[in-house]
Amino acid sequence: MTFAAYALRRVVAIVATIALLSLLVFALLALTPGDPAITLLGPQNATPEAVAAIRERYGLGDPFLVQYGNWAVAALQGDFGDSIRSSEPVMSVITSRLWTTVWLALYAFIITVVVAIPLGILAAVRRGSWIDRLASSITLIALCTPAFAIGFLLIYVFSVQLDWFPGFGNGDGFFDTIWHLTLPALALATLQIPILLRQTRAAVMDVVDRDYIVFARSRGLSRSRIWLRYVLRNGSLPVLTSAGLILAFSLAGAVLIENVFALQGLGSLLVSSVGTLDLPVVQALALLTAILVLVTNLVIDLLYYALDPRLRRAGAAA
Amino acid sequence: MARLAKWSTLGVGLLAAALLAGCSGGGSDSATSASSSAAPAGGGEVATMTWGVSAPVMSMDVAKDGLVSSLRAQAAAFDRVVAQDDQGNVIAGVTSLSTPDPQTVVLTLRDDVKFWDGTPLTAEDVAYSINRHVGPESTSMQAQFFGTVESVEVTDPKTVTIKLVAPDPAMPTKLAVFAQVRQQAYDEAAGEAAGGPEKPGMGTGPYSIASYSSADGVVLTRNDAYWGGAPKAKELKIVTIEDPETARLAMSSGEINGFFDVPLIATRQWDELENATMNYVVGGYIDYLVMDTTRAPFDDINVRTAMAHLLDRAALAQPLFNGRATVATSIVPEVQITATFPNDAAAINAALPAVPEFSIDKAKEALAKSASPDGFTVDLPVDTTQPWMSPLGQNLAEVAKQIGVTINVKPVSAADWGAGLMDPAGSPLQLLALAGPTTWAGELPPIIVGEMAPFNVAKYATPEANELAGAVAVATTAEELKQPLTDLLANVNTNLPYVPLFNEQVAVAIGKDLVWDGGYSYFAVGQPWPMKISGAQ
Repeated sequence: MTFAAYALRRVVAIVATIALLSLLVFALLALTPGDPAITLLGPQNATPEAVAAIRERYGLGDPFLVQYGNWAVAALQGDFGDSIRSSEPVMSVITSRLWTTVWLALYAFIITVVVAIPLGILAAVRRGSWIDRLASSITLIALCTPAFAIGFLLIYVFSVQLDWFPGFGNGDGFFDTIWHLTLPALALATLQIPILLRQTRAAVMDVVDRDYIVFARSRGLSRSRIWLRYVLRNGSLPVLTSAGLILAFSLAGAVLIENVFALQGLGSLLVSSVGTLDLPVVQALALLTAILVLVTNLVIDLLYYALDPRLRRAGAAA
Repeated sequence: MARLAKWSTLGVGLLAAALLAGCSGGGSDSATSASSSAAPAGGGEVATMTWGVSAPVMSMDVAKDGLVSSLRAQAAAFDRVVAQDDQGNVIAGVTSLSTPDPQTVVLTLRDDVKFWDGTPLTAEDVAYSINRHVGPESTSMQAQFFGTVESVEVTDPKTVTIKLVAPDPAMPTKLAVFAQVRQQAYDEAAGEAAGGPEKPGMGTGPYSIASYSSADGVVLTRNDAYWGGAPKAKELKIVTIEDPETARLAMSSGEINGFFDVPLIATRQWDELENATMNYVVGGYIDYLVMDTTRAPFDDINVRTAMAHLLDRAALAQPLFNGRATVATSIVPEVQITATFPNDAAAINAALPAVPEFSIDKAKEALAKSASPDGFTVDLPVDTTQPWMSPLGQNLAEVAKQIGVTINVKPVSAADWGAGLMDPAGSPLQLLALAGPTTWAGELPPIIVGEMAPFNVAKYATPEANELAGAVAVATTAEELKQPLTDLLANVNTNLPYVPLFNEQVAVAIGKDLVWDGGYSYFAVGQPWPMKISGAQ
């Protein structure tokens, strides 16, 4: 199987998965107790005429399949309807928050990768050394510390005491945004680094003990060649999986971090939309989250294919 | 704040908005953050002032979002048709108000009021600003407050006349809190987008809207031609900080100059801020334990009495509110009793039967006389956004075990809590938080008691209660109100559909280097509050 055929097969599977997920999301939300029209109007305002007007405007009175069909057709054109809560187009509501989440996720991801992978490799290479023990201790402490505590600690030290960074908000423009997102990204990275560091350490340790590494050394291959072509390449596969999942998780919205740093991102939007039964927004966010995770997985799969010759050979044989 | 937000969302009315804690601005001369800071600009002016609110501003149109955080942002930009002073009295604003008879309200326009685009305010705009909340087909979130309006008509180029279907003493206050002045032509051109980021609205207020989104907050620019005089701060930013600890740290670092709705549970930490002054005002917030009098086991007065005996209200006020609450003696906020009956408040309270005292023995005795002497099991939903509810519920559940009653405390979202209050399938035991933005003691009882009450969570509608609530609703003077209200409050304290719990205060943090004229007022929510800030100290 060629790379293109492999990619096409994965894309088709993802499209089918998204279609199924969209139906499930729509069905689950339709079963949620409570009437959005009454929630919006309030019990005192919910005259039959007002409720009918709201239900008509948002198509809440149509049969389920009709509602789903209308929604799916419009969604394919990028129209997820209007927010019940604010009357804004859902895409506008999401777009206004998307970039905060994307910037935060990418910023934290870069910090995570830059810190965790080299440290994980070093800890594996110097197994049992003080570096390894230090990395393990830091990992343990970070894993045990609640996200909000890390956030408040960073705000107190770097905003209140040192006045180096803002303690809340998104910022305007590229540099101001980076400045504002530094503390939240550090907080988020602190949560992610232990996961990737441990994964990297374990993967590298697993590879360096393999027979083919011993054999490579016995063949007299250079140290750099062994590390680059054998250890890191083989060890990168599980690390890639972890890194991809971390990124997907961040893109879906780091709710606690957003809350602590008063960032208006997708996570806080999802929480507030669920709380107010803003179904159009929740549906769109759920679908967007699913797409982000699936696309991230797709990218990882394709990278796997590129990195692992065994997959390519298996594909060719098939 | 959360509570108000809830109310408005629920339509529970209560004019909630008005009450919340206030605004503030504390200029911070040490602030260096680009995102905030009130830097004195000289001459008592403030260059930029940044205020924090505890929930996103979802719309600049009061018809679409009446949560308290949104009301604060809206009030900086949009006048109301009339204004309210610090004591809650309705005063002239863009119009002056008169009531030639109890069912007629006449609004007379000022001559010098203009929208930000320079066009003069017309009587048609004023009528539009009210009419959009009127009628059964209105989808305005504030329609509940205008149910007594029969018609709103322009009677001459400077006069708008409102006809009421029945006397409504609170109507002037409702106009002062919710009748946001908006330009009709602008809204009609904007259509559904009115109030949103692209078309936030055209107003007459002290600030025009430079930018707005629910994600980034509101940036406002001074309206130098404001009819009430130009405000002192050139630029005003309103930002959302949902976590109170983040807000406290932002206040401490000078990134914000004020924060409106400090949770009472957190005030001890806020009191220690060196660059802010905490303002506590007695507001119209009141909390209740509610029992559905039409459903077992709470259709039995002995069960309701037993439940009331289980609440140690005096002991709970300190831990739940940091002492910033008092034990309620009736279903009417104490501030309203005092304001409506300045000379008789003490006598009225003294005449009321006391709410049952905390006593497990008396609770056991009452339960033994009931149809459920061996106890029962019931759910108690608690709104997770209202910090006092869950601990109070847990306390009640622990104490109730001692008399054989099992209370399952169910943490729920604000929306679920609100939806469950009037849901026939909801729990018959509820906690309720209400507020009234007016000073009228007759405001809340007709909303929650009697067959005509739109928010009678307890379903309490005995013939006597119906009659008394009806008399309270139509009373237009304190003299007319006094006797039926006293009788109704006594009736409720005796029959306990609602167990009065606490009168809560409102907490607002204001930066020490800004001056809030006269101190923060409970009635500032719907008013152009930035005008109260006279500049840096």
